[in-house]
Amino acid sequence: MDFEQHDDIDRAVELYHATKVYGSKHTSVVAVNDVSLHVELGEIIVIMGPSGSGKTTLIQLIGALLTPTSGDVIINGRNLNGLSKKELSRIRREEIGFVFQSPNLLSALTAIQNVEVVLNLAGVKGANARYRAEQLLKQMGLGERVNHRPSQLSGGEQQRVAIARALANNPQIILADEPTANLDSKTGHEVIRLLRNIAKEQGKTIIIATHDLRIRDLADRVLWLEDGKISVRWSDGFIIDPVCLMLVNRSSEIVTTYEGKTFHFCTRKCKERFEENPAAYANRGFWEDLNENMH
Amino acid sequence: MSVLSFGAISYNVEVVMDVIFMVSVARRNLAHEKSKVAVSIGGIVLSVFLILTMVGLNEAFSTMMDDMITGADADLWITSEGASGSFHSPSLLPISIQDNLTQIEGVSEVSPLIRTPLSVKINDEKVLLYLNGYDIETGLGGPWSVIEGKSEVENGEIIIDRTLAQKQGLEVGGNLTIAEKDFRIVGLSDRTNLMIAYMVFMTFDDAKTFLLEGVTNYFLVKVDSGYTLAEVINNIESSLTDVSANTSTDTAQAYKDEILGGFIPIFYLLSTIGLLVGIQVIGVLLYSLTMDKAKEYGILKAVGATNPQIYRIVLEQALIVSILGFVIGSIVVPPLISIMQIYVPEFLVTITPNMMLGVSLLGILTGIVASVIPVKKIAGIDPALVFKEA
Repeated sequence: MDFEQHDDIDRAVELYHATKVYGSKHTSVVAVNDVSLHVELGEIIVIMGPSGSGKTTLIQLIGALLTPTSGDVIINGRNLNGLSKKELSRIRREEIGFVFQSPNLLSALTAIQNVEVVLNLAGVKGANARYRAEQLLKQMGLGERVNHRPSQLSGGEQQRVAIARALANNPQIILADEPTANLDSKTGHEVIRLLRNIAKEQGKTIIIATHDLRIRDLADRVLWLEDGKISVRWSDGFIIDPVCLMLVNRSSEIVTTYEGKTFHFCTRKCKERFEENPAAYANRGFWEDLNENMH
Repeated sequence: MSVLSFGAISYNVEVVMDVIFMVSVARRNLAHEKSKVAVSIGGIVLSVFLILTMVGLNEAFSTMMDDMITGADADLWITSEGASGSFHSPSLLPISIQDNLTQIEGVSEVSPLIRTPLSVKINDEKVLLYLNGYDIETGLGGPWSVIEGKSEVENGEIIIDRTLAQKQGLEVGGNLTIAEKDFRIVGLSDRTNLMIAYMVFMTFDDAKTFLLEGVTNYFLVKVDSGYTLAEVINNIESSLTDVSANTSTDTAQAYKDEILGGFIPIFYLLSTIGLLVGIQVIGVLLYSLTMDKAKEYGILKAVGATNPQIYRIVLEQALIVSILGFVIGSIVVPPLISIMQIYVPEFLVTITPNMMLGVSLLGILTGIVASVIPVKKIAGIDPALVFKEA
């Protein structure tokens, strides 16, 4: 791949040898290591990789929340290096929408106010902001829930409010960090469907960091991140958790055996759920297919 | 100029409309934490009570000291040299100098006045009276605020402070015995409770029986209209030795300095403590609200809120709580003080519109000061915090 810098306005995101190091000297950890990447306008990228591979740091670099230790991050043609905090805030406010692992809604505000407040920050106020927030929530299927507080909404509903909030200022880029991690299978599928619709209907650039394999189908491109570097293909060191379908390192010590096979889990909770009814999970046909397809 | 003014008005209207029509995170946060806010407002009301009581006590006594002097309706007060005439430095003058004073150029009228403390027993309780014996011919030095009965006395009659009457069950028409001499109570006066003593008014002739023969405490002088006060003071002090002549204003100030001088630092100290309590209460609330919602501020930062936008939320929270607390305090405290005065008549507190204005400004100041630490905390919140799972 050619990663020469050039002024190409069709690229929403460009990374050139971006490296992020935490700590210093003996305690330093390289979270993102010399990553170069282009994402076109309207493209959907899924970044996969195990926990600790640097996915979240990469999303934070692209989201103007972190500055690279070295290299360049360019958003909509603008290099983030050297920009003031105020300008970085403006980029986050107007050019990027965030969907986090937890919905991260403001607990004192209702669903509509959570969306409205982001519009207010960008200078859209009063009836205009309210109308826009209401329309977005209706699109998310939450027309009847606009005046509910986060505590009165289910996890899936909260995540849909978060997606509406991410879309509020009509940003070109949506960054999602593990958007389905805290959701059950059905709600996770709902969120995936929503993201797919947004990408198709609104032509947004969507970058999703996840280790949820279900999201792969959504992507124009799937990137594999391991030890802070982007790899061309899957590593052989990973396998799928049969309960939550997340990627798990084969060296994970959270394992159990059933009918002569070894199963690896991302958490002890998944292992416990598996052990409660191993047949229900172990005999799911697609699990083996996924593992085979992965490599 | 007019264009600039219209521009400014238009800008201000826009700002007000923005504030009205945008989601107020501050107000919602406070509404979400009703019990914390209620406790804080309670604390601020107590703080207002302390501040208003202290400042009001100072004001009441200060006004009373002024009344004690200016109410005598004299242009000049003559005292023995070096004495202010207050409790702490009594003045004694020979009554014989009254004639000399009358003959001094610029003096139109001279009246003797006795003001002396006297400890008496009333209903078996030791009570300190501040006798005020005045010349009933001129009326100079007589009672200045009679709320019941006669406003002048004759020999054998007395006008007493209303709180003394209330405390001791005395009333107009009744008798009061002072040093085995009976007086008929003919009136009640207001603003004459000196906290450590109660003022009573009687004729000079009656009062002089409680003082040494041939002396008085003061002479009150009225000045001829063709002379300035300074000229007459100069004439008096150059004609008579061992006397001081002072204007009513200077005498009142000397009284206040001597009597209140020791109390004023205490009033100010307690008022400051009250204010600090208010700041502390709001500060603790804001700190707790900020820390409870640290992640939410991180979310706002992550989605593009600038630090000043977030500071505004904290400042708005601080101002809402402090102003609400001070407004409720200002509404509740004055009637509370009035109720307390029914049961404790000596509890003299005067609350003026200026004090209320001052307390309101303090409310705003308190809010601003109390928001400093939370704002500093917020500045340090990393927006990347939101990527950590709750």
